[in-house]
Amino acid sequence: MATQSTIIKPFSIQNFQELFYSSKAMKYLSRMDIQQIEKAISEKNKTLLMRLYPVVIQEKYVNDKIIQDFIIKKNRLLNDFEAEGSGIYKKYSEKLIKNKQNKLEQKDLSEAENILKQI
Amino acid sequence: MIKKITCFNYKINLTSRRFCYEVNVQEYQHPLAEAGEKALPSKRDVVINWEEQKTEVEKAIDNHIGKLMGKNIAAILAEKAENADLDEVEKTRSEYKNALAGLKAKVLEAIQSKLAESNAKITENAKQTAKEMSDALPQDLKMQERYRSNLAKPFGESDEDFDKFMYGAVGKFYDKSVSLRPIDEVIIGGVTSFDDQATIPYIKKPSYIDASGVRKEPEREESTWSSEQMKSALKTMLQVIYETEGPEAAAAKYKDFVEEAKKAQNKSMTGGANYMSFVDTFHDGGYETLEDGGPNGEVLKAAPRGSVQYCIDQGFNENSPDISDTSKFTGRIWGLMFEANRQFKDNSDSAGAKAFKGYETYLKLQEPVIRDEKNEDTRNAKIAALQSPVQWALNNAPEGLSILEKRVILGPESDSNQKQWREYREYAKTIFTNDFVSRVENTNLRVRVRTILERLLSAEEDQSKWPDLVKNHLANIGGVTNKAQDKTRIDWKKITKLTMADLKRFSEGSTTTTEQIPATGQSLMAPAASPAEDSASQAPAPTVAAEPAAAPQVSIVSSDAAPASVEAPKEQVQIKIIKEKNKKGKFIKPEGYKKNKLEKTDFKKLPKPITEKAEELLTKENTDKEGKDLGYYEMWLGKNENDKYLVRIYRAHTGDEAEILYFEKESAEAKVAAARDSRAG
Repeated sequence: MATQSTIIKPFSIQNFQELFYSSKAMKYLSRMDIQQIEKAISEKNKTLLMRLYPVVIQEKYVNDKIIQDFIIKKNRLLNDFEAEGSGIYKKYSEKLIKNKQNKLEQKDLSEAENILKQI
Repeated sequence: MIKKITCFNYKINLTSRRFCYEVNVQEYQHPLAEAGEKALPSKRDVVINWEEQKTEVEKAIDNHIGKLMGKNIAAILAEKAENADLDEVEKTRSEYKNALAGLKAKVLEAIQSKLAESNAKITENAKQTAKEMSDALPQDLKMQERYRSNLAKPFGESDEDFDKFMYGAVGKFYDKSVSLRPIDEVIIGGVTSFDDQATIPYIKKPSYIDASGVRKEPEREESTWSSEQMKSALKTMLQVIYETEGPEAAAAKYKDFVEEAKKAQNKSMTGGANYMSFVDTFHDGGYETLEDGGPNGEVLKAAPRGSVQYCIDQGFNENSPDISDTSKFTGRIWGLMFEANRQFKDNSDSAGAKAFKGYETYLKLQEPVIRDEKNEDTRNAKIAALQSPVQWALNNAPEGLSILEKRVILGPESDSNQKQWREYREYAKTIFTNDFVSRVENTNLRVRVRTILERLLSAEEDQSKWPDLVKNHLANIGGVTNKAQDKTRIDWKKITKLTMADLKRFSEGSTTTTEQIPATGQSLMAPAASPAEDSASQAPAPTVAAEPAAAPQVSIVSSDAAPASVEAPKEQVQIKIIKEKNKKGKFIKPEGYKKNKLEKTDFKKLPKPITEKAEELLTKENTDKEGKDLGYYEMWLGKNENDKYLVRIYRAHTGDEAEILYFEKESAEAKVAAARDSRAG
């Protein structure tokens, strides 16, 4: 399985901007807060943006982890499926074989009965 | 950071019989991010997309099933070759196929469930991030924004009070067993539907996460609200939206409510009645500030004060068979009453409030008259003729209504009451001037004092500044008389003995008559005014003084220093030098700053380079890039730290400094003094 890790870029206004505008948290920020942050971006208020940067980095890190966990869980489920599928195949193959054996045995028994009758 | 999983390639390794995956996680950047633009929140609803996942996973599973089925087919063929019971083989094959399909569905369901869990975690993570970001932002700015309107006052003055109120109110949305959710969940819930059975609008309660970490939707029964709950909820929600997202968002939500209410009233009277109650509550709760606040407040300008009428017009029209004309009329009355209550709710003991008592009687008298009117046109005309509470109170105010009380009746200045405010200012100016003029002994001088006062007061709309304005004026004049025009001499020395309390009382408007004003000092009091004198004092101000006033002259003094070296001529108007600037570099207008404002005529007499530069500024296009008018320029005279005279040119509306032009004081004094002189003359 390919692995991924969160790449933490050093602080820059551009990096902050990219993270901020891609952040799902934007949906839950009030309009006033967004305006304040956008104002800080436009004014290049590094003090404030550097205070916010670890927060958006943290969100990215946690999200990456969640996605990674999901992939692992999904892979496990698919592997389980493969194993169970093989089990089902085995079950029905054996059923066919058993049927065949039963029929053969039945055939043998019939033939044996016929022989006995002839005797 | 949102990751968009762009590609999942599944390979089936038949040797190890295990799935291997190549996962290509491509970092996702919103296309607008680079341009620095804000992405729409709705675009970010889903992080791991199930539809994409489902296609890929199904493909992988189907591949594997195909292999298994292929092997099965091989077994079947072998059976056929041996002349086995073909019916039996087919039956087994069908069972096998169904078993694999069941397994596939089970796996898909399990993966979908995991995906939902992951997305829920990402959502929680986003909310937590938003909270942390919000906490990290400077609180003082947020508080400024929060309290910039009077709407914040019901919450109390402190942040703690506000939160207590907000969370307390929002808490009503939840069962006690469920912890409080962030406020915006309530907002997201919104008015989602109207109950078909009970025709009671309800607000969808927010989903919540139970103890096991699973997100759950509330039961429908819990979502049905009583009328009272609904009113409270809508009111609170609008408040919360206003406070957290600003007036634009609140206005938009309000508009949604109106739309929902229209739907409701089409369904039944009950829904409409509830909506009416809501609107009443909304406007009775002091929400009129929404109309005044915010650049997009125009949404609510469509619903002016007394806006139940608006609701009636919009939602309860003649096409609504369930709404009778009586309701229409009653709604109008309600609107007026709510408006009136709001106007006077904090001033119940004022003369204005008492004056308004009559308005209720007026409405009560009008109601049956209008209701019994059979002719619809006449009835509508009578409804339309109902005066607004403000208008009525102003027209029917008792004698002696003070300036302050008039102001209370008027309420804050807005687009809708400009006319009343203009009238009010004239009224206030008259009261103030009459009171002041009555202190002047000489009847002839009263005319002149009145002229001067009116000129002063006309230049300053803010009546709270009038006392200082008059005081400064009197101080500047300093009791100097013009001997050449001795007949019209004003005993300014006496007048300057007026106390600030006197002046302030004048500015607030005396409710007593001139004769009743108590003496503040013998020298200030006129002898008992004769009828002729009194009528003169109350007469409208002439546009031209009876006798020309002595031409004031100008000298320039520093606000923090002794007068400049130029000797002040007698009866002069002094100009303060303005130095103050606030931190943002914007000019702070000092008391009486308008005296420093230069007229165009002044400017043309300044040194030529300055005149040219000024004219260039004044004639150039004064608009921004979008063509928005930036307002006119003002030119003020000032002096810098090095005592160099300067002309500051400001944008009158914003106070932004456009240009500073320096010049030598000799030329300035001469030119400006001459300009002032000629203008005053």
